[in-house]
Amino acid sequence: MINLTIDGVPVTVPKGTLLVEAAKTINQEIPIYCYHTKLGPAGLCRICMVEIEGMPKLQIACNTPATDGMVVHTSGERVEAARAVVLELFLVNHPLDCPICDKGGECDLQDYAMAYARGTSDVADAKLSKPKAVELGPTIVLDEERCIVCQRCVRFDDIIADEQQLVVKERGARDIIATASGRPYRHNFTGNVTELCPVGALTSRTYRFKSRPWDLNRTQTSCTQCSVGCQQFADVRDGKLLRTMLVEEDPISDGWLCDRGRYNVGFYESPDRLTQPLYRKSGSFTQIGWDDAIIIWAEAIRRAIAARGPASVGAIGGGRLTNEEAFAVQHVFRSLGVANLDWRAGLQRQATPGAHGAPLSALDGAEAIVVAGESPAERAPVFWLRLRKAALRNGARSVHERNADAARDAVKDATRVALVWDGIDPAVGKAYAQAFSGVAELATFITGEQANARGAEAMGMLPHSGPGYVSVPAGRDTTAMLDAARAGDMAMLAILGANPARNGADPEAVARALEHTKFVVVSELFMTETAALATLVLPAKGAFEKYGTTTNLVGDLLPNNASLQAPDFALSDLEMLSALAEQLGVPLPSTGEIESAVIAGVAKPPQDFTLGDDRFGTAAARARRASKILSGGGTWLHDPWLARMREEVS
Amino acid sequence: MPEGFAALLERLRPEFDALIAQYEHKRSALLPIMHVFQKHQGFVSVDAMNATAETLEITPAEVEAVVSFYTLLYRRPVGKYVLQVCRGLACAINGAEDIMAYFREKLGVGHLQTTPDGLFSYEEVECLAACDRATCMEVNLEFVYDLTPQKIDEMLAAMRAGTYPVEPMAQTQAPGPTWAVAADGEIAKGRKSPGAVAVENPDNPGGIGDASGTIMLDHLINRDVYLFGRTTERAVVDSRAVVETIEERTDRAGHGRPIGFANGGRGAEGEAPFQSIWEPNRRSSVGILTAGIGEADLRDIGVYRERGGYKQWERAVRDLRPSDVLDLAEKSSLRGRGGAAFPTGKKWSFLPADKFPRYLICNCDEAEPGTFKDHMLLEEAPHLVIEGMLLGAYGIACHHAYIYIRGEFKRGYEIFCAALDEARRAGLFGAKIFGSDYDLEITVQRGAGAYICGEETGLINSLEGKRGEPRLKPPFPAIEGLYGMPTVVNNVETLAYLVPILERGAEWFSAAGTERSKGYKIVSVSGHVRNPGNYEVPLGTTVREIIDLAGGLRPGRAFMAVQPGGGSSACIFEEHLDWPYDYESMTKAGSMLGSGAFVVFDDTTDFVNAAYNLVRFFAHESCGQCTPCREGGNWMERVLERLVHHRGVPGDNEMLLRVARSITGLNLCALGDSIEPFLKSVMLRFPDAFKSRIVETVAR
Repeated sequence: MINLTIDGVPVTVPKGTLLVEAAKTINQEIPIYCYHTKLGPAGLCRICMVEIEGMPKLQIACNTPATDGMVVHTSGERVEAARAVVLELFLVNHPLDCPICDKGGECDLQDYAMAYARGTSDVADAKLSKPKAVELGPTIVLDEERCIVCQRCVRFDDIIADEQQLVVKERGARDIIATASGRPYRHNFTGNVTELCPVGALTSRTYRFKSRPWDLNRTQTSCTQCSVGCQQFADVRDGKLLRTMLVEEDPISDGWLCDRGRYNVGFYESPDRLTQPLYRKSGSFTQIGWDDAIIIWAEAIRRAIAARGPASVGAIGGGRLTNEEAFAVQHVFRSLGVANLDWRAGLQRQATPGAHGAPLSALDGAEAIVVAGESPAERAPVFWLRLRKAALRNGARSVHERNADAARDAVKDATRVALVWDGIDPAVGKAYAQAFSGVAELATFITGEQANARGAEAMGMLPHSGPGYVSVPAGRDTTAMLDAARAGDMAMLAILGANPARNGADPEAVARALEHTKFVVVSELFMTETAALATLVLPAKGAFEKYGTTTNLVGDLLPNNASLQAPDFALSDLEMLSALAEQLGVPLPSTGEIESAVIAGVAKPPQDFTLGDDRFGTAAARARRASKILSGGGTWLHDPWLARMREEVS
Repeated sequence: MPEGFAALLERLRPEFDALIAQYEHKRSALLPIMHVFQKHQGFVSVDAMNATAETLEITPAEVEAVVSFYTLLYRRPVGKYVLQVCRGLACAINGAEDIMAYFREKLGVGHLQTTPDGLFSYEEVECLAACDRATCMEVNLEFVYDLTPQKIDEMLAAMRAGTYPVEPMAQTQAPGPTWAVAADGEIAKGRKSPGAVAVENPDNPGGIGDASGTIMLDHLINRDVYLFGRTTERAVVDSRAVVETIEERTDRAGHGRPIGFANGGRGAEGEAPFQSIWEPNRRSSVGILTAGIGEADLRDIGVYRERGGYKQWERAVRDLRPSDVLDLAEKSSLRGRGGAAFPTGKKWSFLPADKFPRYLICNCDEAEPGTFKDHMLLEEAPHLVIEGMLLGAYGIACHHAYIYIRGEFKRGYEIFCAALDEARRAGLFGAKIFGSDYDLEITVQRGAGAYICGEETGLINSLEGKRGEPRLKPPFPAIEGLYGMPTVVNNVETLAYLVPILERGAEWFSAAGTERSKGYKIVSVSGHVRNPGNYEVPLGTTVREIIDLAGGLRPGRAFMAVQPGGGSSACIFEEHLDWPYDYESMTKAGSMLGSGAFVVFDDTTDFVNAAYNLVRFFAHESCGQCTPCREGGNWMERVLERLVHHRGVPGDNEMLLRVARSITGLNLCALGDSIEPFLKSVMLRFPDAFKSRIVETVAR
């Protein structure tokens, strides 16, 4: 440890700690632009000058490591004069268009200018003119005049995203941030540069000129666009979601968001949202009230059980619901003797890794990272960013081989291995689990198709296990339910927050199955392919419109906080299930009891199975496509801006 | 049917592979590949950059970022003759402004523009390191010296007639009209800003700009993609863009004489043209490195060997250990001759003992305004440079040495490469030299137009195929340099002095000079002296003696000042004339010896113009990484430009001094700190000259 003095306060920090970080330990802020904890020092902006006793020149705090006995002053005449000069120079050419700048109110240039700059200017010359409102790509707009060339964005693109698309071009005062000629700025993490930008140079196309930051209501919640569960802020103004922002200190996301999580949020206010329960009468849908809808649904269940027994009833879904909702689904149906319960509506067979399941931090220390099946790049972008970090900065070997034996061979000397499976083909999972069973420190991960896939499993939305992975008499899984349906053996199917007619292994077979089922109820946000085949369609609330919890791919229990008002008559699935339970006379546990069940179910990761375990079924879904998942249920279709972006992508 | 890009790429592929093979890391071949593309395409096309990105396994954006950093790489087609007239200080005080005005008039185009016939591209460039032949220029990177209007007329006529003896630029595409520049790529995305000059599109009379309404000034060489300064005036252009520049408008507005020097130009006196590149008149008082230059063809390895060349190299490999060479360097008290004057032996001794490979880089990116000694050694004594490099490499026990040659020194590069081939064929380096176990390879890298690449970490970045931006230190190159390995960067002259030091002994070298400034130094004398040139003197020779060596002042002129250490140094004055020219004395006089560029100013000098000239130089050459240098330099340049035009406002002079002072010490590298010395020295010495430019009385 190193002992030094900062502003008269004794400070002890680990060897190698930079002064800018050391000062934080005593809450002494040193202004920074180019430095960023996750990007490291660049030494460009020169605002972080400090005085060190015994050194004739001021030193930059961002590249000076603390040494024993060092006496540092973060203020004083010389330091303040240097800061004032740097700020004066930034403002020579900065357009000072703060009144119309999106960054106004949360801008480091404004803040430091207020704090440290002279109040006057000696500039008698016109400002340099540079390109404005440059559309860098589908997501980002750049104002070169506001740019202070701190290069945070360039360095993010280089050392975090490993994309090297954004660069500094030209030279001297003429330099600009740009992409290669004719190439748009486009990858899965572009939105982060708008938050790294300390000024208003890089802004999101979706947020430009929409609001001032102080008019936004901020709610922290968990992203539900994939199974990682990054923490994010939802910023809402006048009931409208205007932007989502990263949570810097979030250990799950490591402080980054992917563009899907950040930008696929426009669907909440789509005019296509379902706002009323719809009941199919003689071929076409009719709007009905909620009371009628619940009565019709309950009646259908009762009749099915009475006529053909509980085996003719089933429920599919849970991966897009909250833990509480998934718990309620299985509780209501199991109370009626129904065993046909399954969250799996797509290709994924398994979401809980079982033994060797590990926290995300296990990735950081891995010597080798083995990918089995589909790459996490699209399935779990921020998880993938963490893999990159482990590979780029910690030197972890990244292996994606044809088969398990080849992969094992490629990392045969590694003792700390992270194994990342897509959960799709049980045979693949099993083969890798076997091949790597001898590894001393094995950490296994399953990247999910749906945000709460693992939560649904933990809550008992599996045909063979109840809440907390407790074995129960087995029912039919999704495939078996659909097979039975096609044979005319299913009388009532509830599909809650899932769209198998689009995302299932064989959408056509799903459609045929639903057509042959007497009563199909679907809870959804939109009239999806599956909803269009339903008897009863129930308008559901989206993740930002309800409270609850979700479980991410590593079993972290995450909060889901409402930030938006749901449209008209949409209900959450939990609200629907409560009403259904009441109608059926099934006692639903209290909120507190459900919470306890959720915590208990998620807290204890099972140890008696591993990847590709037979209890999840042995048949692989016939994968016909790589999943480019732009959100769970096809919500992107209902986001005009995102649809445009998708066009540009394809 | 012109050759398609795919065919060209196919044809050049073997050449690229050979270039790549010269380096430890692929990416280092970026600049060499760009030079090859430019040779064949006349410019570097987007296709070329994309293909290079693929070849070097980096992104197209990374390639373009690098290309856009260097002024000699053109991203748009240029004229058959690229005329680059030197606007450096030594040329400027010898009439360069008149020469440039003459060019502009004769060509009908301005700075960074191409004539409508696609024959000429005209550019005003920073110091070309040929200050003894002011005013000078390059035509397609071939030097032309001692310009006169008559010489210019003859040159242009020969070019038009197709008889000019310099190979024209390839023209695979005609230089485009103004609006075409704006019509493609990212530039077109820039929205019309209130400050842009309106440019009329001749194909769309009455309409402004291109079809998308984009307004961009033509910058034929495309480094400047937007206009600096604002105006709402509308300028009409023809199809190849004769755009009124701010400067020209200012002239007409009658704000007094524009950038120009009150009197100057030896050319007007009609001196006889020189016969050879480097005259023996640059003869020195001692003649050590300069011995034989201008008298014998030292480029010939036979001539060089007859005069004792490569004997020291052979002796070193046969009889000495590397540590012996290091000892000699240390004992001789040789200090770096590139400007920083760091003890050479000490620099070598910083290399960690246990980290290999290590590299030697010979810094021949000579661009400090007023310095032209390395240029001479490269062209006149290439084998001496090679022998110096060999000794340096042996002294630090490295097996791969590089030389980084300034991009403008095309002829020097060719001469050096030819000499290097001779030396290689003679078995002077390569594997198992002279039958020993010592292997050494030498790679030549050519720069592409960037002063900052003379800074050692900027150079290393450039050599790695990156933008020549100085690195954040620590780590220093001795610990983490080229490819992250220990690296020594030494100046050409420094390495060359190893040869006589080995031959005559460390004591001989250290016997010359003063107590702490030992040995000899080549001084590049230019400006207002009768015989400008390189003079090799023992350190400690007085300032007056050096001026006398160069023939003294022109008749009837009075001495005003000397800038004794390049563009980064402060002026010294009459009271320093009898001071010894050594490191300590120059520091004591408030200046520095630097690279030994010695620019003499007589009473014809307009010091406001001179200050503007140098500040503009530093602003132009700022890499733009760090705030004080990027913003401060540009701001001061614009204020000084107003002063030059007699448009100063009250407070300008105080502001200049304040900003120059306050940015000093805040920068990432030394460039930003180089702005103040000259400016401050002349502002304090000649305050009336600066005060006289403040004409407006309106308080800001």
